Amino acid sequence: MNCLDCQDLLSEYIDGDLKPNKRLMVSDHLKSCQNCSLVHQDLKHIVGLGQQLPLLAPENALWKKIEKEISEISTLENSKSKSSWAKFWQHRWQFSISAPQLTGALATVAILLFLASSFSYAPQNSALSSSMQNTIVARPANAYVANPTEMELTGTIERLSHNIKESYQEWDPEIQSLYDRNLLLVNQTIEDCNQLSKRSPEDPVVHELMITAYQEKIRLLEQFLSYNK
Amino acid sequence: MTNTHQLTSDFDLARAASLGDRGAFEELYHRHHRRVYSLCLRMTSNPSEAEDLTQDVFIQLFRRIGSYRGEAAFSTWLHRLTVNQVLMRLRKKDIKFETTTTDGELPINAELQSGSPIIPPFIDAIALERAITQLPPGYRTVFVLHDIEGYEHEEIANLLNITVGTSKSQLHKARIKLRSLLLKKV
Repeated sequence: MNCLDCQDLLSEYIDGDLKPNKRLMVSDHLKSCQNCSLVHQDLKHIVGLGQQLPLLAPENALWKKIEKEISEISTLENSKSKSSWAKFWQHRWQFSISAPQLTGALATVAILLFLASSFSYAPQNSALSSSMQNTIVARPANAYVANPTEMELTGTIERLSHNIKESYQEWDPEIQSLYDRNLLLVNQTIEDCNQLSKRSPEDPVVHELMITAYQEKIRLLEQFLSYNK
Repeated sequence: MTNTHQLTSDFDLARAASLGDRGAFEELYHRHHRRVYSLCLRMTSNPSEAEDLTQDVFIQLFRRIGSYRGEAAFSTWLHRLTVNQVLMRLRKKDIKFETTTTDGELPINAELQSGSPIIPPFIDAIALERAITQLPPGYRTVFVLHDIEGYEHEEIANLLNITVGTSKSQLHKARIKLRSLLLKKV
């Protein structure tokens, strides 16, 4: 082995990455060549120093900058969440929702369901085997099986609906109307999910949508039940 | 920051921070910011850019902390987040990790190194720190990841989208270049 070949392998020699035969060749060369041996020592020294480098600290003011930014993010996220469903229901309680707003909300739900439906019906990718496709075609159309979470939620809905029925007649007509409209909206969502589930019984997205729709209905029923109190 | 956080594990702090405990997040910052900053500084060789990157890393951490499940050590997870952030910044600057001819540096070809004079023992970490800043970015990245941060060549190859052989070659050239820089200082 000459000096050039030896020096090319020095880093791998130091890191223990050489195969035994090459390692032995480098080792033998280092014993007999003072020049390469000194280069080897220098590189080992550099590797050793690299492992001992201390940690460095940024300016103390950096945390203040980060803190300010995360406060802004938190504020923004809080305002976003208030403007979503929670805010929607809050507005509904104040009887301030207008017909265009209700129409807009319905249109949004319809668009979401349409998108979900498109997603569910997207052609299966080519990797899907023909045998799997046959299985899907052969499955009965109404083979959707509610998972335990969904069954629990429907049980809760049944119980809450029963309680609502008992007090519905005592509400103001305006409250009754508000409840009816909201219930219609939520029931329509659940019905749309049911339709989806018949077509794609095992689609996890459909299960997700169904659970969300049930949870919305429970929230609605609970809010109107709390009106009694 | 409350004193109660000081004895808490990183995992518990991360969980508390994901639930909105700002004190827990601040404690995580104080525990890990030096390691994050050191890595950013050594890979960029620019204190102002390293501070910007450190800030970006902790903002990313704040956004993603809810996704930390404790499957890896928190420090490992944060370290990977940092490396990704720095590499993203370097790629935006169009730094190529395969070639190292940026900054007017010619690639180091195989040439015989002189064994004399040897780097004296008094050459310390500060001198090495300065020499690292003079490395071309491609060499520097591999040297920092391998020799300082302890990454394996396979990991570096995956991160930089290069081959293991290139990673080994870059590391060797980085060490040789550092040697010549340190010898100039003697």
